[in-house]
Amino acid sequence: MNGHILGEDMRKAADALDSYRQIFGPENLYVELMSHGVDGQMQANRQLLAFSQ
Amino acid sequence: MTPQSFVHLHLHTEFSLLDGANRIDELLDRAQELRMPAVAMTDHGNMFGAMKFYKAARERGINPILGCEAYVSPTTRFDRSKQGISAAAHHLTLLATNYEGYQNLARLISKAHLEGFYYRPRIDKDLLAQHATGLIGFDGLSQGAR
Repeated sequence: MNGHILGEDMRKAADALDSYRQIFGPENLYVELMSHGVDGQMQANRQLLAFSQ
Repeated sequence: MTPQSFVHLHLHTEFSLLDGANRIDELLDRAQELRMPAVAMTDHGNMFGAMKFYKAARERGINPILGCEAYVSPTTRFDRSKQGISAAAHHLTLLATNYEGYQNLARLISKAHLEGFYYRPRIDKDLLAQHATGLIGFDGLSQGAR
């Protein structure tokens, strides 16, 4: 999903997340944030945070 | 956050082959020192360390959470047409929330090795949908779902 975000393909990122949401149920799927000082990670985290809401 | 409330939920041990530096006993000694109530183990594509980790955590009064950072084929686990290790699979971290979840995780990871091996032991979304009960999934890592 993060690959799509950094490639700015938000539609594919949202679809990927949605397919897992259907498999696990909304209560059992979490969006994972990381901060390892890797380029692009903070940009991806902001979008991931938006998706999680 | 106090040390007592922090729990690692995505963690690689020495059983993340060629990738994990955390020795199970040293890791759990440190978690005990820091008064962490639980620790998860999510090795890459395998659960080889699960029994050792479970017993060692219990001995220290730490709640072991068994999991795996699974490899998921972008198509099916039988598809071996993609070229290259990074195209063959993305990552999905799974945690068992109960005994049924552990059994499902064991089934998924066994089938990944027996049926889905191509560069990596891979599952697919169909198999996951059949064995998702009792499991939590995380997506978001740089090599997550595509």
